[in-house]
Amino acid sequence: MSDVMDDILKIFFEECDELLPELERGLSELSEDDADPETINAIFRAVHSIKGGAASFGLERLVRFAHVYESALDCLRSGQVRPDSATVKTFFIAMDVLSDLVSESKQTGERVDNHRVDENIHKLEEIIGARPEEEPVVELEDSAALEGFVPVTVDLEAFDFDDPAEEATPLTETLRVSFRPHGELYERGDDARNLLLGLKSLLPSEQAAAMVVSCQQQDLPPLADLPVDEGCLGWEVHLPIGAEGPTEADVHNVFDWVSDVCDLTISRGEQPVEDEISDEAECVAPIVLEPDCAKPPKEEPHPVQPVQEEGPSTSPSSKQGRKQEQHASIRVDTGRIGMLMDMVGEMVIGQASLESALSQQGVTQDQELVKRLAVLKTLTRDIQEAVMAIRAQPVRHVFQRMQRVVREGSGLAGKDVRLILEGEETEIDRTLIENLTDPLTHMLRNAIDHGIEDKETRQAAGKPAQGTIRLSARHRSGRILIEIQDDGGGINSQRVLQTAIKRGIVSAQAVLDEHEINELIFAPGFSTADAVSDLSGRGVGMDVVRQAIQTLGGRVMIKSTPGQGTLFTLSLPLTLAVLDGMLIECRGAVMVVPVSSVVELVTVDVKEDIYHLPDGSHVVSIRTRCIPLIYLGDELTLPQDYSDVTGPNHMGRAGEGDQLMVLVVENEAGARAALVVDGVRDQAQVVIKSIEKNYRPIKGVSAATILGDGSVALILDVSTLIVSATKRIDTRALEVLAEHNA
Amino acid sequence: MPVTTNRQAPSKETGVVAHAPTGKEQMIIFTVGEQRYCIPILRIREIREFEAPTYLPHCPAYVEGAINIRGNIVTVVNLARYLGTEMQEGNERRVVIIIEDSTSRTTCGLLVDSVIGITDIILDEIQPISVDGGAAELSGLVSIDERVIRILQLDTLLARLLGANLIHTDGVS
Repeated sequence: MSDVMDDILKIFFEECDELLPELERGLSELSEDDADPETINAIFRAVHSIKGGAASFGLERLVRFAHVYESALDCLRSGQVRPDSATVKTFFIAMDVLSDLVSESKQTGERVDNHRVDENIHKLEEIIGARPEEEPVVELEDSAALEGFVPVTVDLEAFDFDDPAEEATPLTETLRVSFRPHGELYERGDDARNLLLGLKSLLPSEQAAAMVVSCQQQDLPPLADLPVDEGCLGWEVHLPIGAEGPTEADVHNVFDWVSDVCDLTISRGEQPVEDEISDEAECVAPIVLEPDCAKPPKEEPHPVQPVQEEGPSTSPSSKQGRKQEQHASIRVDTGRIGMLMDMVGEMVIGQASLESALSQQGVTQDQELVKRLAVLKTLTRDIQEAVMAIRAQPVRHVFQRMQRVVREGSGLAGKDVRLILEGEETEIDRTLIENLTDPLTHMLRNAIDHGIEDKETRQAAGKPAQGTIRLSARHRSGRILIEIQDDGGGINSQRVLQTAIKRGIVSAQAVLDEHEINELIFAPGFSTADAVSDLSGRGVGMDVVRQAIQTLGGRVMIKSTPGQGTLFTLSLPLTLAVLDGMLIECRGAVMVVPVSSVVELVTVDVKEDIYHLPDGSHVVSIRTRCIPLIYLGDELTLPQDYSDVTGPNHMGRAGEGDQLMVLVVENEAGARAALVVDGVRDQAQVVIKSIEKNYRPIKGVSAATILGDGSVALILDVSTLIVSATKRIDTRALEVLAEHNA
Repeated sequence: MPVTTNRQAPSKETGVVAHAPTGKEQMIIFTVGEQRYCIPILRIREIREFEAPTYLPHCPAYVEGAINIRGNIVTVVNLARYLGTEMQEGNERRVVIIIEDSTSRTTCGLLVDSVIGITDIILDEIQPISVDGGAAELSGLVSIDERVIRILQLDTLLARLLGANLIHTDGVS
């Protein structure tokens, strides 16, 4: 049993992990534009579900907090409180507490300080208190109108009045609460007992005994016909209304998180007049789910009849609703997707090798065969894309976590910083998403701590007191670019250099240009903070970031403008699994160049277009633009076995006579280089295979792949090649050049 | 002709490397050039024909290139160059022994001249080789039928392939 509970608990926490980001997103939307009722409902639902789940597991602290949170949100939902920035901020901070309470319950986080919880509860209560005083009935009517429910009248007249306790207190006005849980309520692990206890807690302790509970067994079928998974019992409770006794609203609160799985009617007094009933019934309308059960009271011979009739109709229909919801998405173990991914990779290779075997046998003349092969090829590719799509997720999942990082970071640093998210819907591979959180957290903390100046400095510089960090994601040439831009003071290169010298990272005599200095902040053990702050300043930040990004096949670039801010650009591959490649030949070896980095293929004249530079390197002029030339064969030290060596030093087989075939490639920063190749063979989607699993990293080669004939082809790392050609560490200068030229 | 020896010789007292409780280990014997070498059979995944590998840029001279084994990229090492000898000339029967590290799952291929056979080696009979410095190509010698067989130190080889920070003796050839 406990195992089952553990499993369910795990599911609950998984749900929390989904609900909390949803809450965060809703709140962000709220802070940006006007309150869209749908957004408010969405955040309300999120908190509500957390509360409901937590209640089932007896996670008291979480329930208590979520409840207050929900109540506060309810004021928002009913339009009594405007979602102004202060309110939304309170909700944001409270959300962090909520999420910490979830981790606490999950036993992954530290225990949340009671003081912090209370403080936030207090703040939320202030929001609740801030609403204009209104009659609860009106409030309920409001929400009824909001959700468009049909008012329902239910007759309660003929309930059993033989209750002795009731007779004993004939003069007290009572609130009659009659409820009937559906089977679903029990499925959620809740119990009618909890509801009864909840009702009891509404009463002052000395009056608790005056609560009268009776069980309605009219619907109980004969034992033989008893549906074991349905709820058949109804309950009727009479609550005495004292001076400060419970109101209908209090009762509704008790039934709040079961309202969708429990029929509830509330009435007042022993002898309700017809008018009064309809009034009351109208106000409880939001609770009654099924409009079918709306029957004019006069037609009902027996008061509990509606309950009986709706019993069978409600449960199946509401169950169906839930099932549909479950079908909308399923949880799949990532390991299984990974396996599928691997198998699809093998299938692509298999398909390609079949094609190559057939073409070698010369059967490709057969039109019918070619057609069918093409169908197979398309299908294989579609399957591959579909599998990739399963793994792709919007970066929103990481980005939204960053809101909290910035909130907490700016709180600790005592700075007012706003985080703007852009391109959250950009999709990238799941593995990348998982591994992006830490680097981004580091970078944002650094931006807050070192990038954004304090208020006084900002104002003195004529900037708004509130600092802004922009976190954006977008696709560019088959990669994803993530930018973190702050409007702070930029990198103080003199200070960076001094620190680097002090830390022994560079020698005091070193002559570095500004970009090289900026690169120093990625050096291990570098930290410019004069005092180690809570936030960063332990000097592990940026080199860890760079390493993490490089492990993912990405690069980090910095662009800093003194006084205006710093821009960090992370360039990442979309996926770690396949690549659109151009198959090129060089000295008899087939290699793959990512199509995303290919600009054009041109033939140049050795005598007219190629210039020798004094340092021994070459540039080629293509349409008056000079591009560094890379003799690929030399660069990669390819053996000359296959080539009729034409020149004293370079290239493999050149083109015809004095012609050279060059492939112009470009890196993410826009820097270009021209690769001298022997020819271009084909364009194909290739499966990326790691070389580093069984070998060391190779300069200029990012990975390998397997061609259709089963042989291994290397995938070139264009960026490294360009960097080695331009002999620069960073590519910023070239980027500027490229922008200038463009 | 396969050499199978089960001669129970008296153990020699010098530096015994006894990691198998039985005191014996099955080894596969192969030739590189004129020399015979052996490696534990448990490290071997398969033996396959030599096929032309793909050249790896900037590789040490003993790395022949990379081949595809059922979707995995595996590096092939020219053992003759690694050990500083020459391969037999005009040998058409060259094979690649695919070995795998049991813990790290690192795989590599060893290009050898020919495989002789399998034998039980009594661990007590292994004579360790004293090496200056840590990384040795061989882990010991054993003599079978009056012939000295060298035991290849596979961990050193794999570590070198992965570019570990060992003393680099790459330029053997």
